[in-house]
Amino acid sequence: MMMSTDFSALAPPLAALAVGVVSAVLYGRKRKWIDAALAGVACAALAVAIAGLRLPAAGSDALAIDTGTNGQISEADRLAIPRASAIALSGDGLREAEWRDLPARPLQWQPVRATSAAASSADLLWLDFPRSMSLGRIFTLTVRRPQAQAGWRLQLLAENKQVLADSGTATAGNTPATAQLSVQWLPPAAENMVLQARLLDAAGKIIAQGPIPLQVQDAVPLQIQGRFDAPSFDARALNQLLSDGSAIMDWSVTLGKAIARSETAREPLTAPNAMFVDAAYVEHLSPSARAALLAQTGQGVPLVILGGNAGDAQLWRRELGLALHPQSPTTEKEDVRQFSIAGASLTMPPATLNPSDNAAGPWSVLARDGKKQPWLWQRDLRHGRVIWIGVSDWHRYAISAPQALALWWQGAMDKIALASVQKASWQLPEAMPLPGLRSEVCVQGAKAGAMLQVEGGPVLALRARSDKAEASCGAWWPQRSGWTRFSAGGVEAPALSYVYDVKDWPAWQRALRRDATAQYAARATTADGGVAVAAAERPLPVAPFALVFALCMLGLWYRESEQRR
Amino acid sequence: MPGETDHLRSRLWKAVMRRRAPCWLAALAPLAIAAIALPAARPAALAALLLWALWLAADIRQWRKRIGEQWTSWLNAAIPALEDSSTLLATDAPTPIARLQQQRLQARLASVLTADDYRNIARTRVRFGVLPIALSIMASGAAWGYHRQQAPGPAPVAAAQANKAIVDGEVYLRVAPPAYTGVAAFETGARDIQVPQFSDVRWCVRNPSGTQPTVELGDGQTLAVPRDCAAKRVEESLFWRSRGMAGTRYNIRVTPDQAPEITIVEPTELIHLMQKDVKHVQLSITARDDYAIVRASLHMTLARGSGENVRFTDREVPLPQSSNPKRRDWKKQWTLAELGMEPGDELYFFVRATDNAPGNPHTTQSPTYTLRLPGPEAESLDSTALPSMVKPENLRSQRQIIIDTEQLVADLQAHPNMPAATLRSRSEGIATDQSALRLRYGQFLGEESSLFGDEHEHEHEEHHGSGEKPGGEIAVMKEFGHAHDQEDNATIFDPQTKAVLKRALSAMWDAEKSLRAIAPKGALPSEYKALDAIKELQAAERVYLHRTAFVPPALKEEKRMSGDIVGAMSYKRAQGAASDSVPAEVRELVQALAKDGALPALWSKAARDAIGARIADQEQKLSAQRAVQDVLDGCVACRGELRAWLRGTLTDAPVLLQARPSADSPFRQAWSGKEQAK
Repeated sequence: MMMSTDFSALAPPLAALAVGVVSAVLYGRKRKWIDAALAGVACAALAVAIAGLRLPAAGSDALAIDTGTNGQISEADRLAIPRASAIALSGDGLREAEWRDLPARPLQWQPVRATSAAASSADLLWLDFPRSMSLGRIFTLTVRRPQAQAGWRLQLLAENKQVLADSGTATAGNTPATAQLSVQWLPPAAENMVLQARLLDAAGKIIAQGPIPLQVQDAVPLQIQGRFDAPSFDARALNQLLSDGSAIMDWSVTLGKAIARSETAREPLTAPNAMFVDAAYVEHLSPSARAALLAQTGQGVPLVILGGNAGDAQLWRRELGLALHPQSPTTEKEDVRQFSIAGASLTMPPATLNPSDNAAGPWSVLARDGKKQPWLWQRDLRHGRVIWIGVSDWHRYAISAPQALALWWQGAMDKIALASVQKASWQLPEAMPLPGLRSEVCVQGAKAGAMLQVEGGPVLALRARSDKAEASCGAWWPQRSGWTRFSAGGVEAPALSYVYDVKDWPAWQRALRRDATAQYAARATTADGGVAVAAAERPLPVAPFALVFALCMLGLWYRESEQRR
Repeated sequence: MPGETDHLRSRLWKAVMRRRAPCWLAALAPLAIAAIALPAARPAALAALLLWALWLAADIRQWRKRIGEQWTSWLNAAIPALEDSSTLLATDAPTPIARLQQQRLQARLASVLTADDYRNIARTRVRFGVLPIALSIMASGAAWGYHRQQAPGPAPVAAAQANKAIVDGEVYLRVAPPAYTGVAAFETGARDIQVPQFSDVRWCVRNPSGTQPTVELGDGQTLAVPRDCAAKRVEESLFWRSRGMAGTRYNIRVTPDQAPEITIVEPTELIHLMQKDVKHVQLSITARDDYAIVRASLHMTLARGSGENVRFTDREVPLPQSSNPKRRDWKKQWTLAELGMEPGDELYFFVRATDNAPGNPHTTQSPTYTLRLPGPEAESLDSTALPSMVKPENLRSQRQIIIDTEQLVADLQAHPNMPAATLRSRSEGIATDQSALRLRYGQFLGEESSLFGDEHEHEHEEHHGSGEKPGGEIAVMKEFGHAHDQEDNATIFDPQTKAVLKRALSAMWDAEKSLRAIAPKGALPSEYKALDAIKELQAAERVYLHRTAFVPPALKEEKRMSGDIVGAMSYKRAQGAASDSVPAEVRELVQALAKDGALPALWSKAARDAIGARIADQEQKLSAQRAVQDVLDGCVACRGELRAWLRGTLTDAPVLLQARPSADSPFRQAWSGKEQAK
């Protein structure tokens, strides 16, 4: 039984009670015991009637569910949940797909905290890695544990048990305690593989080991136009990087008045990702040609300016509203932009003319280096963008640190260039599909109602989803572990999804269940919170007490009138 | 009477012995086990057994004595029916009452004393001794430990090497290692073996029946086994299986011939500086090889003379052979006469050893060692063409001067009442060393050297005239200073180096001043300052040397800045191709293996070539070849492993600059349309 603790709500029933007590005492002094009792009962009934007491809901015991170690609930429990008013859960709960099939109910659940630190940290794992990536990008596997620990290692192994990457070798010895480790690996060929990852403790004992499925696809080549009016090693190094990445390039460098060296694209540029020019090219253009260039940029393809050889600050202010300031000619150490990529540190001097840190007007800073100094600026130009690269001399790393340089350029390119638009692409949102667990396949760019074929399985119709604006999805129940292939109308390449075995990564499964349960608990309290609370309690019926009050008062009145008579 | 008591005592003794025997046996057992089971520790175990026997004899003797003395009291204590009178049984009764009691006892004795009584007495009197058993167990434990240490398991190795029995009708191996290794040829049933490189391995079948068996090798070769054995010269590790042997694979691991190993035990340092009066020098050399050393010789070169007049004498002495062809040890005390060394000579020597591998024998040469016999007197370095910072050996270094000074200060503290004369002479001695070193470094600043000999002093006297009396002001100035020191710029050092030099010299001056004033403690800071400056100089010298490196190529003067662009032309070409650092055939093979379908023709050859060319480690190569064979056998699940091996050979994959894909969804179209409208 519950009642309000607010004084204003409590005052009327208290007053009624006080009146009752006083009446009873007064009757008592006259030795009218029956009248005293009637007055007392009447006032007590009145107090209860106006107190607004609430009763807990009928069937007030929450439904007790134990999901145990392997996250299963019985069919009876599953059927009982919609009828229950609340759930008292022990264990880690269910996976997200299973919770979604159940109505939201208030959840009484405390995530199990193991008593000893070692036991609980062995229990939970969060793995983060891309299931699908393109060739030439770095694969990163990150493993997180609930508590920071010292001395543990993460290894990535190939199918033949050879170590591909080891987090321990880099920081051998007494490492500080960390809760998260990462390993990186560059896949050399486009293929599907099931790698292995394992966690070792400080003594070299295996804590956990399991499969890491990875699908490597061929990279989408860039389409780049290049126009340069001054030969430079930087442009040359960029050209080499692009051609190593099989980019389609239309490239021309003007060496002198009558000498130009140009490279023709091996295929026509259908959708250029960006146009690269050096500052000298823009400066040497005739005004009409420059206007044409900017008009072309306004159509959408970003114009990227290598600012290394800019010389005419007035022109840039006039044409693009870009306020350039001369940088200190001696490349001071504090001005040099520093990048730390893939274990290499790249230092690049700023261009002789650069925008200032807090660029005004249409210009804004797009990227900053390791010391928070800007090196990339941009402005919008109608539908397109103009980008200023304010560092130079990256060619020095073309031989000494080619991988770091390529990664640096890749990072810049992802910021600068337009994405290559494809008709549709696959999305596999389920982190860890398991046999028997409902899983989801989404196609970005497909229309709702398109058909999806699961290899060796049913044909599904894709449906629009309220929580995914871009994609339409279908649900399927994996039957067995291993690779499963999907194909859909309108999507060229089929998708592959790896279904894990039920016994794989128990700690990760537990962590996923725990996260999903926390999400489910939030679902019940936020979205349906008010309704759930209202359903949980009901007010005490007032009528009986009112009746008792009335009868007592009537009795009193009758006795009083009798006595008078 | 005595007959009765003898019987009693013997029965008591038997009971005691029966009670005591387990203790003896328990002590004996561990020792006996150790003596039988641990051959390495057998002598010790036998000694322990002897000890046990001695203890046994002593124990028996002691118990006999105790029974003889105490049996009557034991009986009295154990059996109340004897009425405390059992002493009467042992002796003749002196009184009639005693005799009466004796007779009563004897009459009762037979009925009262049962076997159980004896046993009870023995049980109460004889305790089970734990100490001897513990000692014995400890001794045998120690013997076991000793045995373990002595024999660290040659037995299992022998067992592994034991040849497997040859079964009729199955393939067996006949291995003939190269003759020079001296390893005996052997025959064995199919098993993993380790053989020397270039061994001749034959696969044979004894009493063949049925079809002709075939042997498949790891590198893809297939050998038919005819009547007279299939043969192969094994150059690298491989595995084989016979077709139809249920896929059991056997490894043949190859031990390559190692190059000889040379150790020069004495002298220990590469440049050995001999004492002046030494007459002998000890050379101790060891050469070792895994099979045999054919030639080993000591090459000596004697260098004599100095300047342009240096003569070299070469000599080669073979290392004497020993009974073991694998080793040549030579330890010899050479007299200087034998070596032909005279004071001032240097002897360079090295050892070269060659093993017995035919074809291309391995030759190893040791580093060159130098024996240096110091000359009668090192000459001044004044005559050398270039001054260098090297100090002559007869000068004490700044560090030695510091050590001397610190020693003097410490001695002074230990003996405050040191004789003034001693203190003075020692302090002045150090000051002399310091001044010599100062003059040496002063040379580099263009100061005149008065380092060696007195003739310099005479020169000065000539310069200044000889008017002063010794000890006078001018004489002192003349001795410790130079009136005409000229710091000219004729030396090769740059101004910075000179500044440091000057600092060093002034610090040395200060140090010398304090030392001359017999205040060695005050000299120490200056001495340290001088040492720091000298260290700096040496470092600066190295930096100076590092700077002379780059010589730019000569310009073509006639072409330079002429503005002539003849020969330079525009061009237009197709865009550059990607420099593919990953071999295409391996990449294609990996991608083909990723699918479950049929593999391209000749894939196994391509895979084996890639494995052979790109996997260096022998064990990994064997595993990879095994994976090839598995896939050849039709194992689809094994493709992953082979793929991993092939992928492992693609080491230098590049990062590819690429576009970011995005899907053209209706949402995106609507979004960009909105942007455009804005």
